[in-house]
Amino acid sequence: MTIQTKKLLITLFLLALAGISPNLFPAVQAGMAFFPLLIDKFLFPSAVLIIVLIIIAKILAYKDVNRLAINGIFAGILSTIALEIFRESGFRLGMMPGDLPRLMGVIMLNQFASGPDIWSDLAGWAYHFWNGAMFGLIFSLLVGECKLWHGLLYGLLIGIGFMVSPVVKSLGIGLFGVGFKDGYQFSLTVVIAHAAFGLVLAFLLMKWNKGIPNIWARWRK
Amino acid sequence: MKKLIDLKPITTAMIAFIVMALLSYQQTSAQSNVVTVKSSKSYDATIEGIKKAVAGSGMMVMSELNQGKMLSMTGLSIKAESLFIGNPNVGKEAFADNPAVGLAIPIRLNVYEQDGATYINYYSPSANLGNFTGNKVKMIAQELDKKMAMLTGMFK
Repeated sequence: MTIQTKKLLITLFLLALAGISPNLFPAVQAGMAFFPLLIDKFLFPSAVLIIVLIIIAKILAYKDVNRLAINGIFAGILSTIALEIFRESGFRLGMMPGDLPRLMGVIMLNQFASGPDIWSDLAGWAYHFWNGAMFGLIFSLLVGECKLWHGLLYGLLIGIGFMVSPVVKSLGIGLFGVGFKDGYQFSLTVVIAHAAFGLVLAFLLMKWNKGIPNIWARWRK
Repeated sequence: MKKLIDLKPITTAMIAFIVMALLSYQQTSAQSNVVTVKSSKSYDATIEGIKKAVAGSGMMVMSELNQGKMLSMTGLSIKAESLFIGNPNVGKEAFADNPAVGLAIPIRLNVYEQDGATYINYYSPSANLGNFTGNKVKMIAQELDKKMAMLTGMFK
């Protein structure tokens, strides 16, 4: 097995593992699973395996894979702050039907009846930022050194995916939130917040991933 | 002397209106079955007091539903909490008599704040349990009516 094949395999494993976390909440809201069980069975194991694979890439001196992964995770976390500025502002202006990280927290800790507290808020925010990190990881591994419009497109695709997901369906506001208020407030907030996420992600990775080939470059080799 | 205004139709209309109003009031009361008590204590003190009083009256709080906190996730700021109150032994007797009573017990006691005042309300147990057959169920319902009245009476 060549080094390029090994790098490709690690990248593919990382991509598969990164895709787990963002799909857990939609699966729960679709009635397919109970969140507290998914945390133990999927969320924590996938997080641990991602860290293990990054360490393996470091030990094997696969600097490019290691850097793409770490850069993606950190850029994803920072981009989530940009997303949050718009999402939280939208929520406070009444443009969102609810506070999603708080909702995720109470569902994660199975304490809907008693409502949110500091621990559920921490859990919800941690999960939200981890999802941001995972989207950053996926983008970094797939695109490598990127352009701004790559990030914008990526952010918008995530936003659209969210608006047609079981999460929005469970909020009872219809696809794209057309049933909420005048029909545009929700989608406008989601689009702006995810565009901000994508733009900040691309802006950071343009610099951090300079000169690092992406997965497609390896595939061709 | 001929009267300037004939009062007969006006009197008849007024009597009809009063009778209708009384009938409608009776209907509303019979349909709602909601007992509401205005608490003399603050919202938090009422919740705390109920929890202690429930324990002292041979029942227990089986579950709490904090709707106020729940709704804070939507941006609404209110104080409202439901306490589900019951006793496993009494429940055993009621369920043995008629397993359908789970719809009415444990008793749901709702505490809420409105215009600065705290209120406690609940569906009358005898009215709720009256929907179910069973002699034991009816006896339990009457007992629960008394217990709930005593419990909430402490906060008047």
